[in-house]
Amino acid sequence: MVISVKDLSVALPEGADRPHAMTGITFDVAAGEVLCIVGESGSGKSVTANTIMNLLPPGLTPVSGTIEMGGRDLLKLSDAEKRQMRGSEVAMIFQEPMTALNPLMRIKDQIAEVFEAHGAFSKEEREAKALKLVEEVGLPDPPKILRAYPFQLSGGQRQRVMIAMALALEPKLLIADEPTTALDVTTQAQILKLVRNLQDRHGMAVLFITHDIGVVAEIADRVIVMRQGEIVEQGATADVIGAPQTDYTRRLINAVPSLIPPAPRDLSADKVTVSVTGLEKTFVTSGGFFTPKREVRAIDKVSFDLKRGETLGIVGESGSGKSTTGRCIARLMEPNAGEIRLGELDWGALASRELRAQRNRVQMVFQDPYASLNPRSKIATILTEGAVAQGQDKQEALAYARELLETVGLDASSLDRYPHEFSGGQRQRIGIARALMMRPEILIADEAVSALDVSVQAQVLDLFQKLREMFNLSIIFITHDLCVAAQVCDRILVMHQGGVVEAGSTAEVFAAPSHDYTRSLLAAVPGWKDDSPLRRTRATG
Amino acid sequence: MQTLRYILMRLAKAAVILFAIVILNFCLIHAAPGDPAAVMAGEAGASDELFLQQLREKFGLDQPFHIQLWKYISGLLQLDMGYSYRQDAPVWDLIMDRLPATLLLTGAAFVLSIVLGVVAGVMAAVRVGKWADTAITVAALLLYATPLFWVALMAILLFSVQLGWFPSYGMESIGSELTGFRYWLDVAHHLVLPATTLGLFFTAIYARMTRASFLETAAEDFVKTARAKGLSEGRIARRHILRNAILPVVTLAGLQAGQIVGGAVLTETVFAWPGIGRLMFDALLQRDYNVLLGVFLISSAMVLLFNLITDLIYLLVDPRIELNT
Repeated sequence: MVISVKDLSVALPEGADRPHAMTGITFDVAAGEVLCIVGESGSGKSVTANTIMNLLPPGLTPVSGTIEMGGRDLLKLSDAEKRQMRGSEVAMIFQEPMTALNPLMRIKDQIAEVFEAHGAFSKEEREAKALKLVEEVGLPDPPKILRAYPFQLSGGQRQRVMIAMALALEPKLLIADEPTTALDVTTQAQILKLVRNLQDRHGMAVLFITHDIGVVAEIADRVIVMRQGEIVEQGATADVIGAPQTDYTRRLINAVPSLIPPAPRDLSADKVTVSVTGLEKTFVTSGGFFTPKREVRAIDKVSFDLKRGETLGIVGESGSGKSTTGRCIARLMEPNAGEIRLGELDWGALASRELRAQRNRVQMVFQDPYASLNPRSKIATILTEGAVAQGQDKQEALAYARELLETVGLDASSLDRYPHEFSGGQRQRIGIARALMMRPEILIADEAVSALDVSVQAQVLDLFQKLREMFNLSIIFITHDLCVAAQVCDRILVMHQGGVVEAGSTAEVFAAPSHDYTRSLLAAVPGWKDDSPLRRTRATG
Repeated sequence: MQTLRYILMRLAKAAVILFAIVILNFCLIHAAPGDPAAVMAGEAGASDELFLQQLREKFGLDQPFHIQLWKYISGLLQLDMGYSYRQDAPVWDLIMDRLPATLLLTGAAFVLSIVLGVVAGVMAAVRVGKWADTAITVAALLLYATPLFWVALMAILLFSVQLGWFPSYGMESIGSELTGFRYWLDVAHHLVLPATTLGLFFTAIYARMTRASFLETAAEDFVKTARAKGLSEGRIARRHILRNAILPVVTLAGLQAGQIVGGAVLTETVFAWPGIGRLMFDALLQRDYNVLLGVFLISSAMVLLFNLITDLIYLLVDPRIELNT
């Protein structure tokens, strides 16, 4: 065994909602093995990882148990020994590649620093080693990458740099804390593959923390399911996901949006409410590190129709133009060319005064439930502001707001509270209620469930379905997550580099994708290979 | 090459701004009640209408406003800042005579406040919540809240009058006729009180800002990455936290540096420091238009210059900033 954790407990500071971040955690990881710890936020999975690394935030203290590695108890090391251990025996990569690298240091200095901290190699050797590492993690043009600053790299490239740094001193254990959560699906697939390859080559043990059962099914040999600081279930991946023993695990598995779309609905009788033809939007960017000054076609000749009561999914990776399309249709951004019609109305050509009077017809729900509500306003103000601006009576608006809050599953008393008093899922419900206050015909949901935990995500998706039926809404559902799209969308538009590469009913697109890009997107979704236990469990219900 | 083009463009813009400032200052000064002739006549005790008329003619104040403005500007374009009838000397000579003293004072205060402020801020941040942090924070708040002139007077009372450690006024010992190294030592001795007094206010601001910025940066993800690499805490503080935390301090230092000419009026007055500040103060009381305008012009030029320098420093310390030419 590379590492043995026995009966580990970490206390939370007094006044927390429970006494321990986690209790009685016991597991081992062997060389050449990937152990996944899976759980929702607050399950204690990250605390477990940080305890091994001796990187607990202040206030959290291990109160019992041992972490044995190489004959020593990691909890009993001196500060100097802990430093020595970090980076050389245990290395770690984190969730947010965008912020995990020092913005003011060149990549080569950040990699070389690992060697410096441990007094390894001479200065010239360090540079040569850094170059080899950058090559090994598959970054393009390694010498250039070494000279680059982090802001010049993409998220996936930065995560590769993090991995290169982690591998620098050939650690026996690599801890990966949600390393692909912030990446889009194809980049995620590449990083997962890279971790697997590197592990094969170096034979290290990997402790992989994730909230995504799909990722577990893709990469783990064994899995531990955690909930509220305790281990609920553990075993070989095929066993745990193929035949879950506890209700909680089963719930987690069922909460993962399935890649298998439900049976299609018949919408042939419904009227078209939105019709978009030849939409184009071009941005002019100043030059970057790898790119000279250039024009970017954010969207290029996008056309589609949307019927009353229909949900259209716009799917693609970051930079595909899906959000820009949404913003143009909401007229938050002006397209360079193309026509947007709402029924008979030439919506795209409305002048600002007329547009303002009719703004209520198209409403948006945004991605980040934390940033999209004004923290200084009460919910009552947030909900009624738009309606009052449209000329509605304040009391009437409040009454409708109360009604809507209950519709989206919140208490009417929420009106007097501030956004920070709500959880992410609740805030997203408020965001949806805010959009509905305007009595829209068309709702544009831009990555509206991407920031939520899986179980909360499933609830919010159900809410969208319910509201679509209640209000006969047309929904444009923008997402990078194919599983989410499969669950809620009647039709799918796949976008790539600004253009539509495939369009069709969800069932058709998922069953028989016609474009290579769609096929590669589908293949990148973790955990849904033909013979995977996740697919089998979900297929049998 | 791109940097050079950027600097030239900024300088061109600065010239335009400076021109606008000159016109604005000229208008403002002439809008104030009283003129040099009235002040001089008043001091002479002769408010004879004819005498006033003669003085105004001599100073050119009897001409229409726009002619005066035109004459001043065309003078400036020939690098002539005018003549002070009051002091009977060219304005340029007066300013150049006083400028070194002011630069010495404000420069010393500037360096002192940055070094002391950043050190105090970092010390407070790494000991956050402990007594050293509380002591530094309270001291910074006190200095921040206390009026400069009061600090100056109390410093004189304590260190000059009571303890006799430092001289309370002037820039050198009168009649000592020291030369070389001994002269500079004497000046430094005179410099201690005014420079410290002037620097303390900014020391307090730097300390508070450094502390806040340091704490904020210490919570960033890349600091955790550094820790996971096995770096020592001292190295993390220096290379990762401080380098990022210092950016807002640079902005503020740019603002302070802009005041390097005009910002020491109070201190110079209290400590009888023979600098620009006192020249300006006297000129203001005497309505000595040309001297005032000259001081304003030099101060504005310094603000513009230091803004440019701050931006160039930013370019050096933060690779994410690109020149926008």
